[in-house]
Amino acid sequence: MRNIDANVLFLDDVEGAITAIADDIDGCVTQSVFFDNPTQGIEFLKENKSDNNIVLLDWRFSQNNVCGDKILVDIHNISINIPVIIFTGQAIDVEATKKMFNGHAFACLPKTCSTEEVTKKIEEAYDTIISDISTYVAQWINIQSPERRREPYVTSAGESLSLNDLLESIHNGDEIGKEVKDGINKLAIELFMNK
Amino acid sequence: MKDNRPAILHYRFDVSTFRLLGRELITDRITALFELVKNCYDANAQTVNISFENINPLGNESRIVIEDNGIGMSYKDIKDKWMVIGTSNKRRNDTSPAPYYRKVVGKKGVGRFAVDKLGAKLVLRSKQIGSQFWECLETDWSVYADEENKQLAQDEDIKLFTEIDNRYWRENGDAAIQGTRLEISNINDVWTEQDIKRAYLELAKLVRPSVELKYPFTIWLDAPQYQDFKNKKVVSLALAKATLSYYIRPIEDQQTGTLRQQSLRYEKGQLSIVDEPLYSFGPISLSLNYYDKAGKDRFYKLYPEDKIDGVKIYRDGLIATPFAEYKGDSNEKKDLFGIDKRQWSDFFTRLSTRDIIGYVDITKKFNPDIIDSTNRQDFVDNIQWRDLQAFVIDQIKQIEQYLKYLKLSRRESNINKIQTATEDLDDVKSRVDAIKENARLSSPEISKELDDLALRLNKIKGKVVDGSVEYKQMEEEHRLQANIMYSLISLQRYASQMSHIIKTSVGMIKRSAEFVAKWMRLGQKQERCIKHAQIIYDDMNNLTKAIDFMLSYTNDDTEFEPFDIKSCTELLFNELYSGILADENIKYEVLIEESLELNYSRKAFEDMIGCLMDNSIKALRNKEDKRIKCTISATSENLTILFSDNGIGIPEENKPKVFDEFFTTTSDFGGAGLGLFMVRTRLEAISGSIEIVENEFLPLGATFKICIPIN
Repeated sequence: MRNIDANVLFLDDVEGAITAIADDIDGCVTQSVFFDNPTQGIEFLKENKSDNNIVLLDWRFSQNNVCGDKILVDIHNISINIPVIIFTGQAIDVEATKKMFNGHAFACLPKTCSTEEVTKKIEEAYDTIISDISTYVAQWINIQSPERRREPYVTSAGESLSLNDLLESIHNGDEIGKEVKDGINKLAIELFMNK
Repeated sequence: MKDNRPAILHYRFDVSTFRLLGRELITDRITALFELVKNCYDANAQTVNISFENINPLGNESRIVIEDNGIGMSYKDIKDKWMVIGTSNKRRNDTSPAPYYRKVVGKKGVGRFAVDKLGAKLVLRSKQIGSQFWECLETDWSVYADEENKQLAQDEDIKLFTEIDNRYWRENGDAAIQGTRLEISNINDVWTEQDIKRAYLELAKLVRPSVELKYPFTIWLDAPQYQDFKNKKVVSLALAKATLSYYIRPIEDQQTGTLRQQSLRYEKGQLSIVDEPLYSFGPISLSLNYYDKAGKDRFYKLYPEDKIDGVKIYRDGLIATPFAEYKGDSNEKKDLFGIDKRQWSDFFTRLSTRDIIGYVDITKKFNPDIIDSTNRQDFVDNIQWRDLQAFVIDQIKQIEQYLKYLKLSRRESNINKIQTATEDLDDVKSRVDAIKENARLSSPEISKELDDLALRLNKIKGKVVDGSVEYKQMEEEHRLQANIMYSLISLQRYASQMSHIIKTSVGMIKRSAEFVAKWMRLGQKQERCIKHAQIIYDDMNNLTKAIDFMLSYTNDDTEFEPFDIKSCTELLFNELYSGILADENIKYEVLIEESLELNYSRKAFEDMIGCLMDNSIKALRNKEDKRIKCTISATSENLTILFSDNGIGIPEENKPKVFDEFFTTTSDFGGAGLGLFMVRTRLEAISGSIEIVENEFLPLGATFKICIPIN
């Protein structure tokens, strides 16, 4: 696997299911972290929102019959830019597929798949992150000083927005976040066109 | 150059605010009606009339009118409260004015914008008692919308939300009358009969049913276009027709003066109300009403349009959630407590949301941690809410156990009645014989009649005996059918779980093998290669164990045989495990009632005890004084095994997981997390159970309780 600048989170109640993958990618990713309790994984993502994160999520947690769909929603609420790869030993029916797509899952892999298949999906997920302009905007905002991030930066519909507001909008994928992203993309295209 | 910019800036509201607070915040027409009716409740109204005039098809005469006899508004109220967004008066005083002191339900101060969801124009008329005038206000949301459209078209002359004119005037009125009337026109959507029915059913749930309020709150709904909704009183469900009704509440401890929580407890054929310490969620009242088939027939005869639909939560008398929810398909209705999602409950006695109507009564004051989620359709997921969910499910389970007992008792009573009837017939016949003996001499005609009677009695007895035999046969057939159903259900679940286990194990083996193949060749990560080689070996063993279990499971039904529990268990302790028990220096005690015979698979029984034994040996490995105790007793219904050790015990957080596949804390000692899962699966297949109960050994240790049905 090629080196990638991202945390890989394994949310699974059976650690053995991911040991070989974690050992394989060790050294190629920023860090790989295992959580058998999804709530702790969610907390990790909240705390490390400014990093690039990729999640490999078990679809069914035995304890309390927690299902991956709820966790998918929680992750999406933290940031729309976290790709989630579903890892499942269950038979995937139409209902489950609907829940995965509605929850914006990046991909779904069976528990019988090889490490190579998993690492390929992790690389694809990483490519998605780094090909998204909002990743760079978020990175740029994150390296600004706290004071600068708090100051009004732009005005939209008569409302002043700070860099922190923009960052939040980028993570939430709301109208302002989309506007920022589209604006930068348009600008980039125009610059290319004008050479 | 002098800077003329002011040092202070103020927020202003864009004209689109009306839309954001109205149609976009209120997602549903019924919720909009709810919001407006809630305002009537907060204004101490006793009656609310909702009229739908000419609402299908829509035209110039279409109106929705909401009229109450509450305290009304003065000019000042309209100016400083109604016309101010997010008014804080209801947050300052969380009860309505005297003498009602209702807990106010609208606190955000935006409920009035719900009108926009219903229609574009509102004429408000409000009057307080003693005043000679109706205070009138006209708000036309279409003016706001036009302004917004103008601004979108980049018109330079921008008006803010706060700058649009709303006409105010006064009309003469009777000083003795009070109230508020909202007349909504330019109606947005057609109201079909189905929509009106939906509004009716949801409004009926607004106030906690079957509770007598000191100051009643009655809603009337009038949609003259529809025969069934002409000036109809909105009536809450009555619960008198329930088959079983229970009500539990907080009570005060006479000695300490503290509050305790009543709860339902089933024990030995009795469902009693006991009291226990308060739970994390605080004191609550709970009304649970169960409907059997006859109860449902009675219910639907009385309320043909309503539904028996599970448990709802009321806060201070008004519905908290599900809030104005309506789903045509009852399968899509919200099951707040997960009543229908329970997997492990007894299939034949499990109650569903279609069997129960329940009300949980909470209060703002005593249950502050049960918090509405923003969409008003759920609660914030915290420990208190989870505890409340678990409590309600437990209470339903207590009723289920009681119903199971009633069913069995009825069956036994029927058999006894048949037996008694046979004995009575014998008695009557012997009396007839005695009379016949006396009558033979006095009257041959009577004697002949008595002969005939005796003959008929014999025939009746024969029929009763035949009926009795048939009843027993039917009972047996029913039991066999139930067993087949159990087997099918458990087989389906079992197949799903086994495929999960095998897929997970195969995946683990495959990836470890892939790791070894890849990194050995590269000559890197050598230590991890060794680790993965070991993982492959262990997982292969686990897989073999799972497959063996699967095979033994398929043979269970054919290998049932009566065997002596005492000798089988003693064989395990005194012979099969004697070596390891001696090596580990474990003292053990086996207490078993004499002559207990079980008709079950001997191998499965040995496996279960063996699994518990293996776990105990692992739990005792770092102890000095090591003890295991196995107690087996029986009633006419169940065989109960208590298996205890004084080992390290099971941490509280692990207790819910110990019976799940792949859960292990002893992977270093070859634990695969399959043993207890297999025990549970085997037991469920025969309607038995396994659970962790309070430790027999103190201070540390674990006790497992296994129940196996005797028949």
